[in-house]
Amino acid sequence: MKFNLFVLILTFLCFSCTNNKTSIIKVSTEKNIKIKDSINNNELELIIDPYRKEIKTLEKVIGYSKGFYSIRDSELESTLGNLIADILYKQINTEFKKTESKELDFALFNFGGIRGTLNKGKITQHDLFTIMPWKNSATIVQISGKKVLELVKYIDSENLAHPSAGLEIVFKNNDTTEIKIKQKRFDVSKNYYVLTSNFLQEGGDKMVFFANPIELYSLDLNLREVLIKYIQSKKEIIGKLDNRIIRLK
Amino acid sequence: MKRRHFLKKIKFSSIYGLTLPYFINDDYFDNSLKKITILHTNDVHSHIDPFPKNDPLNPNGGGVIARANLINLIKKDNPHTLVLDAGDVFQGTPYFNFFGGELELKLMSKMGYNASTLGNHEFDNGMEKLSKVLKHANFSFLNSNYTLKNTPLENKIKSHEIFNINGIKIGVFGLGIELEGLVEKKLYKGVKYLNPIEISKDISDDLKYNHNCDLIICLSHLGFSYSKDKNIMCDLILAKQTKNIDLIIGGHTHTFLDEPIKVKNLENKDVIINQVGCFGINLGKIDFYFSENKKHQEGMSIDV
Repeated sequence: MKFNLFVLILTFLCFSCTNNKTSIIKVSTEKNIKIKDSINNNELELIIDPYRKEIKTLEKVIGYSKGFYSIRDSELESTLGNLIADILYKQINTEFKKTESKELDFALFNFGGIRGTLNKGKITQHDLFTIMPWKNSATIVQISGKKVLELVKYIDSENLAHPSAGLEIVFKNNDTTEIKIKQKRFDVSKNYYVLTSNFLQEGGDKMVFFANPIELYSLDLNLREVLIKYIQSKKEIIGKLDNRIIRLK
Repeated sequence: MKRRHFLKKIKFSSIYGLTLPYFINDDYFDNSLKKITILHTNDVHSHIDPFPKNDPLNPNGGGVIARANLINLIKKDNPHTLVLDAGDVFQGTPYFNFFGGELELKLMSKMGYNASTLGNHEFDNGMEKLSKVLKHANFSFLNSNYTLKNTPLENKIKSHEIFNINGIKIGVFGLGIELEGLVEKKLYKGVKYLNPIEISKDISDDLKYNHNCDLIICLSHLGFSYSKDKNIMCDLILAKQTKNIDLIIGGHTHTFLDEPIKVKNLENKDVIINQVGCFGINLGKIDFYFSENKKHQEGMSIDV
C-alpha cells in the first residue's frame, strides 16, 4: 500500500515535470499597423493642452518656402541640405568677417542632423524645430589640406547627402576626385576655414578630421536661430540642386 | 448548439477584422492556450501631435491620441498585452526643447507602456536632467550594456524586468548603442558601452534558466543593420550570435519594416526582429500563443 502510494506520487511528480513547462506553440505576426486619424481622447487632450498652449507662439509664420524640400531628394546633395548649408555659410561668414576679419572657405554639416522636411508655403518656427531640433552652435575650424582630403574621403565612403556649401566634389569612375573650394582648385598645401557644428567638431558622426584643429572658434550662435533669423528677413526662400557634390557613373 | 456558438464566434472575429487563426482548429476548444500580445514603437522622437494634413509624406500620420486609441482597442480584444518601446523617445519636436521630455513620459505612462530602453537621444539633455525627468514615467527604461555606476543614472535604470501576465513569465531586457560619435562626450561622461553579445548571452540565460521565463524579449537601440559596414553591431548580428531571445524589438536606424522578419539564432531556432520606422507613424503587433500541453509544443510554428 505504502509502495503504491509512493509510485503514485512519483508518477504524479514525473507527470507534472514533463507537462508543466509552458512553451510558445505559435507566433502570429502581421503587417505593421499605420497609426492615423483618430477620434478624440479627452483624457490625453487634457494632459497635452497646457503644453501645447505654451509652444503655440512657435506657430507664427516667419516666411514662405517656394517648394517642398527634403534631405533625401538626390544622392550626395539635397535641396534642403543645400539650402540650410548655404544660409548658414552666408550668415556666419558675415559674423566671422566682422569679429575675426577672416573668411570661411566652406561648410560641412551632417545628413543625420536634418530631421524634417520643409513644406511648400508658410514656414513656422515649429517647422525649424522639427528640421533642426538640436542645441548645436556654430563652430569654425581651420584644418590642413590633408585633413580636407580625409573629409572628402569620408563623404565618399559615407555616400550620404551631408549638407555642404562652398565645396564642390566630382567623384570620377576612374578613382580620381576633382575638388574645388570657393570655385578655386583645392590645394593640399593650404589650410582651410571650415564651418561646422560643435557636435561634429567634437567627433560627432565620426567626423574625426575636425578634431584638434589648427584654429578653433566656438561661436555663441545656435544654428537653428541663425536659420530662423534669415528666413524672417526674406520674402521667400528657394532650395535647389546644383551638382555641388556628384559621383560620375 | 456547440456548432452555432462556434460560427457566432467566427462572425464576431471577422466583424472586428481580427485574425485569430486558432479559431478554426481544435485549439479553440482548448483552454490551456494562452495568448500574449506585444505592441511596440521605436524612435517616436517627441512626435506628440500628428503630422499635418498637408504633409506630403505622412498626411495625418501618427500622433499620441491615435496611438492611445489603437492600443486601447487592441487591449480590449486581449487584455494580456505588453506595450514596449525601443528608445529615442526624446528629441524631434519643440515639446522636447521646451519641456525636456516630461510630456512624452507622462503620455506614455497614460498609454500603458510597460518598458522602454535608452536610445542615444535620451542623453541629449545630459544624464542629470534625464535622471530627473524619469520621475514622470511609471514604467522603466531598461539597459544592460551601459555601465552607469557613479553617474546620475545609477540605480535609475534596470538591466531587465520580468512581467507576469496571465501566468506567463516574460523577461525583457534593454541594449543601447555605442554612444561615441552620436552624443556629445560631456553628456554621457562615465558611461561605458559593453559588448551586447556577451551581455545578452548572460541575461537571456539567466532569464530562461534561473527565472524560468517563457518568453524573452530584447529592446534594442543598436539599429537593424548597416549597409556601409556589415560588421557594425546590429539586430541582425545580435539575433544570429545569441540564443534564448525570442523577439528583438529594434530602433535607431528608423527602419520601416513592412512586417516582422525571422532569423535563425546560434541554435538554429527562430528569432523574430521587428522595427516600425519612426515618429509614431506605425505600431508593431505580435501575438504569442503558449501552452503547457506537450501535444501542442511539438507543432510549434511561427507564421511570419
